[in-house]
Amino acid sequence: MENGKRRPRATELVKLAALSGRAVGDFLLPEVATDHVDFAALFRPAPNGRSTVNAARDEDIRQFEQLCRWYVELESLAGASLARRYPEPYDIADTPAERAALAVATAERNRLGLGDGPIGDLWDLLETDVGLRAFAIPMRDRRIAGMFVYSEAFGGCIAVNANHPEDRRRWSGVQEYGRFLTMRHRAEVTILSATKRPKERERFADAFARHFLMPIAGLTRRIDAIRRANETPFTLGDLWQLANLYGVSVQAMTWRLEELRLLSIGTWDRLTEFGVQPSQAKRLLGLTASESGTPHLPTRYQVLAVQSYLGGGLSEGQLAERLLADRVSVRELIHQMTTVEQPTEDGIWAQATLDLSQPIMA
Amino acid sequence: MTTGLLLLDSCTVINVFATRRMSDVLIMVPGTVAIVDRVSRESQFVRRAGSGDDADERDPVDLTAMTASGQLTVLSSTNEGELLIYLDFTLDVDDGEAMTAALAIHRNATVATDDRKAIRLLVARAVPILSTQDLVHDWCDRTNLPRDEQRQALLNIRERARYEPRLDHPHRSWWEATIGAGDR
Repeated sequence: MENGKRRPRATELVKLAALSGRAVGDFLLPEVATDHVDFAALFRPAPNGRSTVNAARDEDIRQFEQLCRWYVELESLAGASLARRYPEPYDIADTPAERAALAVATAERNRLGLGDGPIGDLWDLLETDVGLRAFAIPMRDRRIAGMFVYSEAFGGCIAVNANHPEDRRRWSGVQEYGRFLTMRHRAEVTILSATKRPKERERFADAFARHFLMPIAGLTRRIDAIRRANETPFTLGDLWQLANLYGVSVQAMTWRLEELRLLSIGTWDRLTEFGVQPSQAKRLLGLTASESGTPHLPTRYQVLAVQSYLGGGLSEGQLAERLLADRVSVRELIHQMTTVEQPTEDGIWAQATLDLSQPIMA
Repeated sequence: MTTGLLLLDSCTVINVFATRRMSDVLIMVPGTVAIVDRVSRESQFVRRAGSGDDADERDPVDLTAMTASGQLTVLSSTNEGELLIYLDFTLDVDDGEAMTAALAIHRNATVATDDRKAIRLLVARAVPILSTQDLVHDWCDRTNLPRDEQRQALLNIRERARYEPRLDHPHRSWWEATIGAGDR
């Protein structure tokens, strides 16, 4: 069997699947356009790069690949491919990271018509307006912040670690987006690192996230407005509300304001000396943070999966696998997507079932 | 109702477990009731339900007592013929559903499932099918279960398993009449 001279027996395949912890179906996938895409190969370090065995990371990469593959399969079943609105890759060679990041972030905001305000639903923006597949999945390797990969069959794909808080996920997502814009053909796993001398491309990704999420003009204008409206000086509460509005951590917002000289240098250090704990303060202010560890799958992906299930294309077990959820949670999702409350002629509110595949435009 | 081997797939296990009367329901099934090992290994949950703050909490589907007492048999296979059918089905459904189908075909069993795709695939291979409603209705009928207990079992399926039979299911009118049309 190892020499490829005979086909594996069924019992051997079942044992192989059990040993590798994978579904048997993974070894039997029918030939489709995405077959030649192998994330493990794309993420493999260059021959001179450092390579370390990391089973947890390999498993995270495999899950990322599986989600992308399922997404493309669902699109194929529905005959609805994801519209790609990709710009030409930005050439940032020989440009210092900070300057390149500002230029690319500004150009992208202009291209997407975002103005200079906060970005609401980042994930929807990346999928609908750019055409990227963006997932938040709980990764076994907790040090992974995000991953990015591009292939002709899948397009640009991003995964961020759902074990991290929502503001960190957004930051990681934008960092990966920055890589897509500039180094599209280089797959990357971003590891959280405290190194004081990050590489140039890491400095770019970080600066891009800063400029894209917190553009100078809009942020400055907002701070001025808060100062004018307040009878008291800019407060800790103002800082938290601002961080929440922009969907970034309080630390990231404080550093950004320090950088723009809108707060005095060293403010963050002083806050931490006072024992400030951002998560606790967020709770006190009633500001919400998404629950860590909860996967976030693109809405379009979920709709395609549910549509396929309702049409008999997927079994309940397959649907649950694809939505990374247990079966009862999946049933709740189907109910939410397909049921509306509406008044009857008698004025009584009753449930009506929606057909997700019903065409609404000629 | 089957008289030989009845295989429950995951969706039916969840639904019947949600009644809080699974053991009573299975006692009324003539013959052997079984699940495949892959189904028994799946981590499945139902909602706690009720009027408390913890109504949406998840309760694990724990079949240990029924498998330990022999009321529910756990089956696996190392038979090449069964595994070949199983491999075939893994292209269409998940592992547990595929093994259930393979064993049903090879061992002439009936399958209890509520899954549309699984039903389609099994019917094409002439496998007899039952649904959650068939099992629960049969239990209510044969035990002359008081109306309020029937109602509670169905409400538990709805609230804990988030399941309702399809509008065209033969027992849909019984379901609605038992739960009460006003209680939706």
